[in-house]
Amino acid sequence: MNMDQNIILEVKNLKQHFPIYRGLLQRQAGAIRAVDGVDFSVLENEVLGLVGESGCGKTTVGRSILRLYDPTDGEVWYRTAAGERIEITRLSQKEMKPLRKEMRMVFQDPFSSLNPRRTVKEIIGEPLIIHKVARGRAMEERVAELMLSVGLDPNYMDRYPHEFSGGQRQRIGIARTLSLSPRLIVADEPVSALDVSVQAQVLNLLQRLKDDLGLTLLFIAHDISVVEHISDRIAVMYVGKIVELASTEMLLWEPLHPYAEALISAIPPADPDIKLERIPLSGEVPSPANPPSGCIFHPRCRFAQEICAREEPHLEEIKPAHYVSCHFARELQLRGIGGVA
Amino acid sequence: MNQIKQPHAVTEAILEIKDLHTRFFLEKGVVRAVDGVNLVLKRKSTLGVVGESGCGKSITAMSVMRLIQSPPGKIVQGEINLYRKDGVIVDLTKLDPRGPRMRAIRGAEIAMVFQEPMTSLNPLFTVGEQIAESVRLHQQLDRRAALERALEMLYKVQISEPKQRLHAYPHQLSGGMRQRVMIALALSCNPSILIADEPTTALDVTVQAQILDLMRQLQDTIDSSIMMITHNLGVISQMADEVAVMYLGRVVEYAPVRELFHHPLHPYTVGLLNSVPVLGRKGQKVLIPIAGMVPTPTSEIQGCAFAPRCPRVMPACHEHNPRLESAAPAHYVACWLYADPPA
Ligand SMILES: Nc1ncnc2c1ncn2[C@@H]1O[C@H](COP(=O)(O)OP(=O)(O)OP(=O)(O)O)[C@@H](O)[C@H]1O
Ligand SMILES: Nc1ncnc2c1ncn2[C@@H]1O[C@H](COP(=O)(O)OP(=O)(O)OP(=O)(O)O)[C@@H](O)[C@H]1O
Ligand code: SF4
Ligand SMILES: [Mg+2]
Ligand SMILES: [Mg+2]
Repeated sequence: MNMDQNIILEVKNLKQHFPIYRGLLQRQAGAIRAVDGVDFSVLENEVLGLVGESGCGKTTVGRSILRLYDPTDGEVWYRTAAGERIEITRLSQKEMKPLRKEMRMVFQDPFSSLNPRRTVKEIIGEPLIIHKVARGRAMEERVAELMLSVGLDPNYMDRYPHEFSGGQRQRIGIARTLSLSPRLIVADEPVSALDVSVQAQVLNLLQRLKDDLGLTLLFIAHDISVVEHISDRIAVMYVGKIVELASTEMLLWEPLHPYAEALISAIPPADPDIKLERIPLSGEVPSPANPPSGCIFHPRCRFAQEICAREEPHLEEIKPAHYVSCHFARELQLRGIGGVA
Repeated sequence: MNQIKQPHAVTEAILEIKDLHTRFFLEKGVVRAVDGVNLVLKRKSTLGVVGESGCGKSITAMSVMRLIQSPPGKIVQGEINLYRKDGVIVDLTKLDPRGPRMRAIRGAEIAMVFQEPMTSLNPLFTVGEQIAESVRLHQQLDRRAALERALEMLYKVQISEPKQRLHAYPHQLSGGMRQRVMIALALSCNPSILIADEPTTALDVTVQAQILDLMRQLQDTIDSSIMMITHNLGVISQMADEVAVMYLGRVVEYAPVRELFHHPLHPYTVGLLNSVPVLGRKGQKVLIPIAGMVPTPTSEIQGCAFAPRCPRVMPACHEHNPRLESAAPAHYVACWLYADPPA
């Protein structure tokens, strides 16, 4: 099959800047470059993991591609169920509405993202009513079916969210997301707020839904062990940019970007026989309001040369399907989770 | 717990918690936050305390510090024995939490690093003033000497530009720097015990790795024992010598770290290890969730607290509460699979 036909979402040079206002007159004094030129594609029925440290722009990417924001610049091409390619960044909210059935989001916090005054039936069924897909008896049947598919007992559909555990609430959220039979789901830290013993329920569920329903997932999380478990490919972000994108195996075992290498080396393996040997990172993460010149990572990079402060590297295909944004990606010998350089 | 009856173990222990019960007496009922905790912190070693949200890790730590707010909280039963170098044993539960003896111990002998540094740093004072203040509380030093000690501590925790940071206010620091300040503050009086409650949970992994490195280095140079509370099994595997696994207010398993990861005995520990993804094991590991959910600790539990979720539950488990007992050398477990229930 042709690769391009497989692409459900293509993001080109996406930018999402938030203005900073100052003073009495609230003049614009600058901008937070939350997402600052991001390129990637998501293949149909894959899980693409998006990782990176707090504030690097993961959530903003997710929200921008679902048009919960109006992107500052760039293009987002979505291929509909009917096979039509549409550039969505300039669509009106009305034009977006039919697409919203196909592209949906799962939120991080299963406690605050569900309306406490609504029953589970109302929560899961609401999108069906808004989009005029089903109501009454048909809606109830669909809700029961959805509850079963996420492992909840449909007999509980008249209960309220507080009567459920964290993992169950997250599954209610997922059932709601699934109600309109979406094709692309952006899951923003869907298990971060959950206890470890219930995280596995939700991860296994997402995995199964992907397999059974042919879903495509953009899976955002800061826990790389979790992302590894579920993702086919992983993109690493740093200060508003993607610095590396590759298959999960290549990215973790043979990273090619110095930041990805440092990030991976910092993860404590849950095994006392493997000793953590982290690659030290000097300094702090720069502010997205005032990013460094050249390569955004150069002030902290142990390989930085003069060119790194001067010229911005771009995401390039260094090995087949392995994209890296570093001037020296072809030369560096880096260490992955195997531990050998 | 059995091991404390063995004389060699007693000399090794610096802190021993015996059958500790801490409760909160609320209008809607009694919260059994800590419901019979037994554990031993050994001299110069790191004890990892793991368990899921609400299992009583923080309340155990706060009970040791005697910082449980009363009312509504109260230590209703048990001992917390501090073994001093000179051989004197002090049961902290017997001390007045606001009295001079406990105040002298808190900070100087036992210090604590809290999960959220902003709640324990005063926003109105500079970092230097706060460390100096805490030093002067326990040592006879003048202001200048105390500030010098503060600076020395900032060097020790490897904060960048320590001289400038001495005059910085907490909000001017990043999360990682604040946590370093907290550690500097905690270690400023050379405590023999450091309790770190989720010291890295709010931090990014690269910053977490720095803080963990720092804690390890400090332990080599100062003479402290660390009680490290976390829900992160990765952090535990890297930091701990011994591990106590908590469930619903009780310690269900206590073992040396390698033993715990390679030969877990308690069904809850086994469940916990089976349910988390491990880096580098993609495709090799199927995640097995633990059925059910953690109940809220308001009702009195008969039998084993894990029984309602346990895949290996037996009739006796609902009847009798298993005690933490030795199942292998240095390995303690509270489970009827490893002991004979009373007939
Ligand atoms: N609506 C907004 N207005 C202004 N700034 C914003 C807005 N949303 C995000 N930001 C800023 O943009 C940057 C990226 O934020 P974002 O939430 O996308 O990061 P993230 O990678 O999801 O972080 P985390 O892991 O903490 O969730 C941050 O500096 C953040 O403060
Ligand atoms: N001040 C309080 N009043 C009433 N109940 C409390 C109070 N503090 C804690 N609890 C309860 O005591 C139990 C143990 O709480 P604790 O804070 O020790 O949990 P923890 O293991 O530290 O959890 P976490 O991982 O979420 O920090 C919980 O059920 C909690 O709700
Ligand atoms: S471009 Fe330069 S500074 Fe950036 S990661 Fe590569 S070597 Fe380091
Ligand atoms: Mg986010
Ligand atoms: Mg806690």
